[in-house]
Amino acid sequence: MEEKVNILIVEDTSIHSILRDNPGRKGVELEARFSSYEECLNNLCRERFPVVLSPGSIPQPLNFLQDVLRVSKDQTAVIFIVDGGNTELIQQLLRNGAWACIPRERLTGESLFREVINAYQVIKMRMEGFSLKQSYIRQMEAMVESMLEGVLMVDKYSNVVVINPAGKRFLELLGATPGASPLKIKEIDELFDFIIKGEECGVKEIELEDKNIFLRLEATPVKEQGELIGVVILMRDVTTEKKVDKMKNDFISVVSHELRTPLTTMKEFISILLDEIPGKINAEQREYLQIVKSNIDRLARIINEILDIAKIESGKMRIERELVDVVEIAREVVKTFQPMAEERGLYLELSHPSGPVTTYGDKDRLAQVFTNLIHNAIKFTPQGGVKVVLKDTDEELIVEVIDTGIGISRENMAKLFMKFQQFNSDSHLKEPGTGLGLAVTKHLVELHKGKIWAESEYGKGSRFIFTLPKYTYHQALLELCAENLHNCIMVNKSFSLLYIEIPDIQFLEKHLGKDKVEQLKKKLDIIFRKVLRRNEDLVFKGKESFAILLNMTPKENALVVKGRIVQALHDFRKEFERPDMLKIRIGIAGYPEDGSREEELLDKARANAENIFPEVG
Amino acid sequence: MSKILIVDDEPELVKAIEVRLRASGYHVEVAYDGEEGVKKAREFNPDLIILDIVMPRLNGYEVCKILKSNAETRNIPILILTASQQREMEKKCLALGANIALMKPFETEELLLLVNQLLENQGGEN
Repeated sequence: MEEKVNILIVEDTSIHSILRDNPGRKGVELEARFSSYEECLNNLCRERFPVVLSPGSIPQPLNFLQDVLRVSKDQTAVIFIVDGGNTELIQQLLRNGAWACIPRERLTGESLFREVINAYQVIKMRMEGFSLKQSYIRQMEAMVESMLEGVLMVDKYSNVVVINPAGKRFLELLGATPGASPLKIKEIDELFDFIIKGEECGVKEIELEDKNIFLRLEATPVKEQGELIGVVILMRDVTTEKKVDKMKNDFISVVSHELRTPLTTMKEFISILLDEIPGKINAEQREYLQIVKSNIDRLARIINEILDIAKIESGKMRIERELVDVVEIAREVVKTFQPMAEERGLYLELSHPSGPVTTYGDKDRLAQVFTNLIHNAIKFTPQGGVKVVLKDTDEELIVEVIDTGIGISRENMAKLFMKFQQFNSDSHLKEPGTGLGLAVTKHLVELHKGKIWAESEYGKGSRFIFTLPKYTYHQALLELCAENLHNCIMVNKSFSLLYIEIPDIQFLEKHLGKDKVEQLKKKLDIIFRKVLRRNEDLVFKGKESFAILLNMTPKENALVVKGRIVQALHDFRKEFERPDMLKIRIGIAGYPEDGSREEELLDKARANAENIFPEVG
Repeated sequence: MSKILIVDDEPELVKAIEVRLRASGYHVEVAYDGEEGVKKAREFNPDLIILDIVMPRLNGYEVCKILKSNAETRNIPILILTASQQREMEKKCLALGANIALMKPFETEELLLLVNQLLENQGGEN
C-alpha cells in the first residue's frame, strides 16, 4: 500500500518542480499542497502536514517558524531552502527548531526528497511516542491509585496535586478535612518546609495514641529538569514494625541484664575455688576449673558482641564523643595484653609520636577497637610478635597493628569483616573467637567516620590499619546536635540547646593555674548533670564551653532548665575562690522556633549568649 | 580492718563478692535492696560501698542521691556495679559523687585493685 505524505510548500512553486525530479521510493508518495505565506498557518490549523517546505526569503522567517511549531505542537518539520552565504539566518533558524536549511545552489530533487522522507519518518515516530507516553501515564495513574502506601504530591505552593485513595485515608487519620487544599496539617507542612529549604529527604514518625497507630511519612523533592516543582510524601502504617522493634529492644536489654548477672556469679565462685579460698584443689581439678573459667569469659565476650551487633544493626549504636588522648588509650590496652603476650613468648610493642594525640572520640569504644585488633593479632601469631604503630597527620590519625602471624589467605580476605566468619581452622589456636569481633570493630571505626582495612601475606603475618579523622569540639558538637535534632524531628518533638561558655578562659588559667580551671570545669559539669533530671539530656564538655542538649524539650521548658542552671551557678559562685573573675555566658535555641538545622541552632544559641553575672560587668 | 558494704539484689553474687573480700581481709556487711542499703550505710558506717544499679525499692542512683546528700554518709566512697549498658545512669551516679563504675562481669583482680585504691584514697583524705 502506498503511504501518502502530505507536504505543504510555501510561496515558491519552483521547489515543487525540483522535488518532482527525484528517483522516488517504493511505497511512498508525496502529496504536495501550495500555500501563500499569509494562508499557511490557517492551512496548518485545518489539516495536518508533517513537513513544511519554505524559502528562507519570506518576510520574518524566524517568526514564521515559531508559529508553525506552535500551531502544530512540534509535530511538523520545517525545511527551509535558503540562499547560500546567509549563515547567520541559517544558524538562527536551526537553533529555533528548523528541521533543516538547504542551500538553494545545492538543491537537487534527490537530496530534497531524502530530507522530506527522513523528516516525515521522525515526525511519525514522535507522534507514536506521544501516544506511548499517554498509555504510560495511564499505567502510572493506575499503579499509584492501587498502592497500599499513601502517596501525596503537593506543588511548591503546597496545593495538593496528586493524592491516592490510601493517602486520603491516612490524611483523614491525621485530621485533614477531605478535599482540602492546602491541607493545613502541621506534620506535612513541616516536611514540606524542610524539603523546600533544600533537604533531599525528610522523615517523620507520628504516633496516633488514641488509635494505637504509628505512621511514617517520608518526603522527597519532585524535580523537573533540575528544578523543584513540588514535594512527594509517602505515608505508611508502621505499627507492626514498631511493635517488633520494641520487642527486639526489650529482649536485648533483658538478655543484657539477665545473662550477665549469673555469669558474674559463676565467674566469681570459680575464681574463689581457683584461688583456694575454701580449701586446696589438686592439679586435675585446677585444670578443669580453668576450662570452665575460660568458657565463661568466652560466653561473656559473645554476649557483649551479640549485643553490640544487635545495636549496630538496629541503628542504635551511638558513640559518645569526648576529648580523648589516643596514645593513652593504646597504652592502656597494650598494657593489659602484655602478660598474655609474654606467656606466649611474643613481643608486644607500641610506637607513637611524643606527646598526646587528641581528638573527640568515644574512649571505651576506641579501647574496644584496640582490644579486638591486638587480641586477634596475638591469637593468630604463634611466634614473633605484635607491633602497634600510631601515626599523626594533621587531618587524621593512622593506627597499624602489625603481626608476624599466620596471615590471611586471599579468599578469606574478602570475608574478613563480615559477621560469623572464623578463620581459625588451625588447631594450634588456644582460644576460639566469636566470629563477631572484626564486624563490630569495623562498625565502631566507621561510627568514628574512620576507615579500616587489612593487608596480609599468607604465612608471613597481617597488618590491620584504621584511620580516625581528627574531630574538633565544634565538629563533634555539630554531629551530636544533628543526631539528636534529627531524632526529635523524626518523632515530631521539639529540641532545645543551651550553650554555656566561659569567656577569657586564658585569663583564668593565667591567674588561677590550669589545674584550678580544669577543676572548675569538672565542677560545672557536675552542676549541670545534677540540674538535669532526665536520662535523655546530654552534657557535652569542650575546652571553654559546654553544650547541653535537651531532647524532646520545647523552648519554654528549656528556659526553665536554664533558670535552674543560672540559680545553681549563682550558688556555686559564692563558694568560688575568686567570684570576681568568674564569668559565664549562656545562650539558648530551640527547634522549631529557631530553625531546623544544627548550624542554625548553634549559631543562634551562641549569638544570644549573655553574661549571667551582670553585676560583674 | 576496713569495712565494706555490698548492696545488690542478687544474693548469690553478693555471697561471691563477700567471700572474696573476706578472704582479702575486709570486714563485710551486705544489703539486698536499695532501702536496706541506705539503712545499713547509716548503721554500719562502712569505709566503702559497692552498689548495684538495677535493684528493687530504690535503685542505685536513688541510693547514691540519698547517701551523697546526707552529711554522715557523704564521704563514703562508692563503687558502682552495672550490668546493663546504661552509661547515662552510670554517669549520673558518677556526677552525684560515686567514685567509679565497674561493668559486670568484671575481673576479680580489677575489683580488688579498685577496692584497695578507693580505701587508700579515703584514708589519705581524712
